[in-house]
Amino acid sequence: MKSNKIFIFWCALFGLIVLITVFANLFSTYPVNEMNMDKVYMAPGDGHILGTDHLGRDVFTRLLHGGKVTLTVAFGSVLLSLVIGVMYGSVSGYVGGWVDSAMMRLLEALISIPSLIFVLAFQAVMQGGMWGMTFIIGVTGWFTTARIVRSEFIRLKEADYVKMARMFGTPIWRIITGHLLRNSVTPLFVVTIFNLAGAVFIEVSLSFLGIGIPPSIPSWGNMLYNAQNDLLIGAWWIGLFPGLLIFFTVLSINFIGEMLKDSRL
Amino acid sequence: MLKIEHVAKRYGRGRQRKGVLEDINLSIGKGDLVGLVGESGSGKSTLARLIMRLETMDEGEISFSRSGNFYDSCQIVFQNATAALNPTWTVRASLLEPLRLMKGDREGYIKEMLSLVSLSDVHLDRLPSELSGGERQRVNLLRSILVKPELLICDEIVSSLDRLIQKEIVELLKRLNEEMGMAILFISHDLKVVNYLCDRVYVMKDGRIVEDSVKQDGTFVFSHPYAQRLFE
Repeated sequence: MKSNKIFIFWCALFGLIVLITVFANLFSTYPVNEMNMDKVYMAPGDGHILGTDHLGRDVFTRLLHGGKVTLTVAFGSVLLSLVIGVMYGSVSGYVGGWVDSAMMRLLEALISIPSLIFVLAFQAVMQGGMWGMTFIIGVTGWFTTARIVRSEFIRLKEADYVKMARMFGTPIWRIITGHLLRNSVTPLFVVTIFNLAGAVFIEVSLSFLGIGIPPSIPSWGNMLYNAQNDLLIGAWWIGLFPGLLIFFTVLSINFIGEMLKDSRL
Repeated sequence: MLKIEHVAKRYGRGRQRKGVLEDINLSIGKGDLVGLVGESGSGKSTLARLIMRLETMDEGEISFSRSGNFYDSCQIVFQNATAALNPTWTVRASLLEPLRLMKGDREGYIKEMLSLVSLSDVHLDRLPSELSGGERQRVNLLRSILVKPELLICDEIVSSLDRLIQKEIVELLKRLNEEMGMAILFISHDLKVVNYLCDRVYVMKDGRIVEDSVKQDGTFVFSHPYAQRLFE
């Protein structure tokens, strides 16, 4: 009962964050890139609920629009990694034998290299914007998904109903989608939730390092990157609010994932 | 219709290699009601899997006289009805699966066949978890007979059911045999049920068929001590 309420709380919090960022245009009080050099570094209050930055831009507005960018990158990349992971894991788990062995050795080799290295290498080549980042995080984040799908397929393909399906001449694509994938949805959903938290974290990290989303596009990571110098002159609000939103977003996603995982077990 | 000659099956490698089936000979004719009995681990289910081509044999030959798609003529019903039905599919989806290539009114055909296993239209939209054990096994059985196979292998299908439902299922098998002329290989360790249902029985022990007997005057007569002890 108590854990149910906690689960609902974290879902509501994450839902609220997604909602206010998706409908950023409705909630924002100023145009996102409107500069006002007469109002630089204004503290929260007096027409700017969360203050302004070094160019006089409204922090609240940029926070909402930045969230839209960060979450779009996160959701887009997770979707891409889900598609790649499911395809790779499906082939490996369903075919089995030496194909599975070869694919798993390759996967282990890829997992052994920190994903940040891949992301940096891709970013050096592509120097992408928002969609470039989505692509990069997506193609480097499917490893765990593939492993989960593969292990579920290996377990499920020996199930009696799958044997029956083979005997009835059900096409392989139907066995994979209708029997195997459909019964792997719960663990797949849990791993995707964790991937989402990871994707938010990677976008924020790269943008904070100045190699993520281009500075012209507001994102939570970019806001943190810009806030580094602002903190030194006492403009704490420029870094604090994006920091808090990132913190609560990642925390809520992780709590949702953990609770889903526990309820499954 | 089905002829099994000198079939052997072994598992493992090298010194660990262990024979599960040795020199199995068995035959089933059209419309036969044949029982296969033996204690747990005697190799009954392994033999069923070999007949259904779910595993390969190491020696011998299994021939099936019907041409065309093997699985249209030979079907199996597994013991665990819960494991044999996709938990995320409704009864309708499960029953439509074997009829994928059927032309005409598939829904109508299913509805017509439902009464055969004492189920009704209301069961069609239920998930396996919403059915009782007996209902699940009836759905499982119905799915296998929808393609009207000439041979149906029932692998311990009444073992986990209570006596009342066991009786229902056994009567149903009898009816299928009489009305559709379907041959049945009934695998069980429940000798009472085999005695009631089957006309011929094979007794297995440690991977071998030790005796076969044809029912005479309502009973089976055995000469092998193990078979005699089993049916005492």
